[in-house]
Amino acid sequence: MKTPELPANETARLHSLRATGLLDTPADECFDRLTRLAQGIFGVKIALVSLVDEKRQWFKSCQGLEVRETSRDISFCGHSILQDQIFVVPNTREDERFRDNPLVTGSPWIGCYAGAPLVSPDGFALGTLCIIDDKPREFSATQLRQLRDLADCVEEEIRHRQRKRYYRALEQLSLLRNDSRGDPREHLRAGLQLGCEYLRLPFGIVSHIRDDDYRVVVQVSPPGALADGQTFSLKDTYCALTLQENKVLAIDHMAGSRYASHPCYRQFGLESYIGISLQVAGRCYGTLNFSSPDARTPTGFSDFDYEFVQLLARWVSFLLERWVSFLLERWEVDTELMRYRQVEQAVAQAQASFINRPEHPQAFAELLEEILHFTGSEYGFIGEILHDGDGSPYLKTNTITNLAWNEASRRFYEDNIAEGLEFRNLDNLFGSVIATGQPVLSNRLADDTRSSGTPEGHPTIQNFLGLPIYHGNQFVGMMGLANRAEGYEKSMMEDLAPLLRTVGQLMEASRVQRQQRASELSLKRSEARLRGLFELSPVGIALNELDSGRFLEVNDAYLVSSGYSRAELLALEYRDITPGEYGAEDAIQREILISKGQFGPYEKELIRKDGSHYPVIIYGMLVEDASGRRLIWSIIEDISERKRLAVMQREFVSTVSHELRTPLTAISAALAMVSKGVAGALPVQAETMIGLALRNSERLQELIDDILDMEKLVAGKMSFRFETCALVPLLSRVIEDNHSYAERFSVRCELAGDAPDIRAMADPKRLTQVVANLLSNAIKFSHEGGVVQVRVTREDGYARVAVIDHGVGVPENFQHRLFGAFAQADGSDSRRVGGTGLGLAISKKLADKMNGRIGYCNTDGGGATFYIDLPEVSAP
Amino acid sequence: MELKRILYVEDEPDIRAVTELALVSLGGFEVAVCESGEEALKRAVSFSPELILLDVMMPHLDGPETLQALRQLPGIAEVPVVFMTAKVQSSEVEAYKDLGAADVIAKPFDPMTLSDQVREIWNRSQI
Repeated sequence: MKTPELPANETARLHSLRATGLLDTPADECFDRLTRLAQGIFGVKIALVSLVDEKRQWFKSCQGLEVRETSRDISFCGHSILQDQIFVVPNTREDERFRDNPLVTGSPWIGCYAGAPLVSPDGFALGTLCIIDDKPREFSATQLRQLRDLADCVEEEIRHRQRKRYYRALEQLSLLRNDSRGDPREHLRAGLQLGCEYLRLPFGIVSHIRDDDYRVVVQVSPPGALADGQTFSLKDTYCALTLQENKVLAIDHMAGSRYASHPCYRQFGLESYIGISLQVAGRCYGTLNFSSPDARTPTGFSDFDYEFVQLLARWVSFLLERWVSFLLERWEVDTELMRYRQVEQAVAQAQASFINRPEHPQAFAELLEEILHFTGSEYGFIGEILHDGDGSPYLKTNTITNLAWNEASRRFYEDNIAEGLEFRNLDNLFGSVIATGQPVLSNRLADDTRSSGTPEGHPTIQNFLGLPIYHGNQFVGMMGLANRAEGYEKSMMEDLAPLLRTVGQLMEASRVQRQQRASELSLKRSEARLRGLFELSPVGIALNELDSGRFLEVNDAYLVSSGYSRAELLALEYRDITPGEYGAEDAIQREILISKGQFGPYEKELIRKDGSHYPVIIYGMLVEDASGRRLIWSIIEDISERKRLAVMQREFVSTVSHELRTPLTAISAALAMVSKGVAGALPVQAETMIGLALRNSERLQELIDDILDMEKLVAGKMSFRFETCALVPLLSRVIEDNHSYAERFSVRCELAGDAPDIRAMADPKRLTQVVANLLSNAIKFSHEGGVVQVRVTREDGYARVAVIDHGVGVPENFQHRLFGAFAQADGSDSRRVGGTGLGLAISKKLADKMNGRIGYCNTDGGGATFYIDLPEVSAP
Repeated sequence: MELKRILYVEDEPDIRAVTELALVSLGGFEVAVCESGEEALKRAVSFSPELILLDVMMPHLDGPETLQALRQLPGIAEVPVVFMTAKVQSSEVEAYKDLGAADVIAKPFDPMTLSDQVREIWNRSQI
């Protein structure tokens, strides 16, 4: 028996056979009809459509035979497919090749055989249409032609099947197209799967090509061969060739083609390839390609294949377009969402930052950072609009991108950035935002007339977006952004609106907080100052409740005076520490306090803890606490020490006066008596010296008298006996009394002119003292031979006594000190002219005490005029 | 009648000496000079003065106290007393007068006119 040989193109033949999709499929009436016809026409027992597989022959249609397949080794058809023509074995028993064939020697007892090869459209003999009988038999040429005709019908049916396969593929593609829900990637994969099956190629790829990058978007391949997302260099793929074509590129057998030297072939050894470029949204997206390590010979890719690939590519493009637009859309939506999220996040972050550290400008800095990032801007600032004293607006930054371009600007930023930079020149782009309260957008700053330029070295500002910041209707600040690569768009204003609102709120909150902090600080300082004053005051301070009189607060000074501890005193009322005799005065002061809001100062005594009394001067005011409770703030000055000092002073002056006067009395008396010759006549020199000693003891006497007078006046202890004084007689007496004194200076004193009969209310003794003082001064300062006049006049209801001399006068720069204690124009004068320097001071105090006034003016023609005015009393 | 006998009380020796000189040498009075109120009390009755010149500020018994004590002595109660003091406030003068003083002579006094002053006061007291 002769085993059939394998055809040279066995692999491709088998591939082609499988591609028919007929193997192992159920019986089909179309084929059965033809085999029944053959059986009838040729009057044979068996008619088959036999397909020769790798190891067997399988009967797609079978008449007169029970089995569906037999081994290829013993098959007659295995021989038939090696023939171009019908293979006829008229008598198997006599044919060497088949005589011992089990199919001859056993069932089905083949006696004769005629098989017409069934050739696929791509040229492979897939099997046969054969007729078999159990008896040897000859077939006529007509019969063989008829068999060929029938075989052609079978071939046609197979081709039809293939077309049907194509149509079915198209149908499936159409189904895919109609059902585009779900993951577009899986749809694409289904399309590729369909393509691989239809084209009978193991690799199917949708690629995305950008420049030299070839990326596998979706693929179908034998396990482990390829993966989605895998990338290659474009030049290492056949797609580099496909992109050059504007139609399907198909290579059946790479080794034999002009592309044999292509790197793809060398690298991957793909023998067949069919591919087409994919157009998505009018642009080249990549390729759809199918390939195989096997060559597609001998027939190569069919027209159906080209057409299928084109159709599939159209669908893939369509899908990709949808996908891309979907992705794009999703990306846009995502981006939009992301932007909103960014905005929300920035707002929340800024607010949180502000809430956490309101005193810190970090919130603005963080917000600006976000906004710069969000808008893609390079520089920016956020600033508050403030006003100068004259109402001119200026910008003070809350935060600003550090633009330092040299050492000087770096230092400037470092020193000022935290406090905020102030921009007062508003003749520029951001100035026009401040001036108008409207946004300013400039994408070509170089050509914008509103731009005032930048200092030398300053980074270039290409474009600028200035946005006003409002809080409610109030224009509170602005934000400036600069250098966005793509320039600024109007729509950005809308995008930034929520951020700007937040900035406005933060600005307002910051301003309010600043104010609060300032007022809190000032309140704290003021409280601290007051608390300090309260606590450190050397004078007692107490707070009492008006109604109950209860102590609420006392300072240490008060505690020290009272001898009480704070706790003890706070358990008392002010009445508890007031001696009973002051009850009436306290009641009066309380009335004054209620009606006028203040009381005192008045003097009273308080009771110490030990029961002793101490004098105080007390005054105070009425206040209300937050609850409307009326309280008394009192200042209680402990005047024990003052009183003690006053007593001491009195005693001291008294002692001094006594202690000084006692020896002076002895000295004066002794000298007076000696000078009067009580102890006998004295030598002339001794007499002169005794006279000198006597004059000086008198001067000392005057000084002591003046000091005592002054002390009494200051202490208010000098008593006055007021009466109506006729001035002319009084003055005449004073002039007379000073006659001898005047003579010593060779000066004459006189009552001037017709002295009117004027009376004044005064203490005559004190008035005499004043006039005598004025007169003695006038005498002392007159030139030798001069005249001192005493003139009585009426002045504004006062009786004026003027003492007029024509002496040296009073230097102008001394006039204002004339009536001060120990005042003498020239220190040397006191020695020359004598006097204590207390005379005028005493005179002034005496004049004051007598409700009068004392004064000075220059005498016409030189000299001094001193006067005392006293209330005039009308003549009876 | 003329003033002759004066009891003079003064703790300051210098004043005492000058005053004594003025009263004795210039005034021609018979003067009992005492250094203290106590001494004055001892000598007053035996000396039997017609006028007493009494310094106000003295240790132990001062002028007013001495005056009070002298008033208790027989024959002295009606004798005019004149205070001599450096304190010459009018209120004090009145206070001394209220104590029973005939007058007050201010220190320092003029020794040349002291006797006349004393005599004048005594004369007034006799009216």
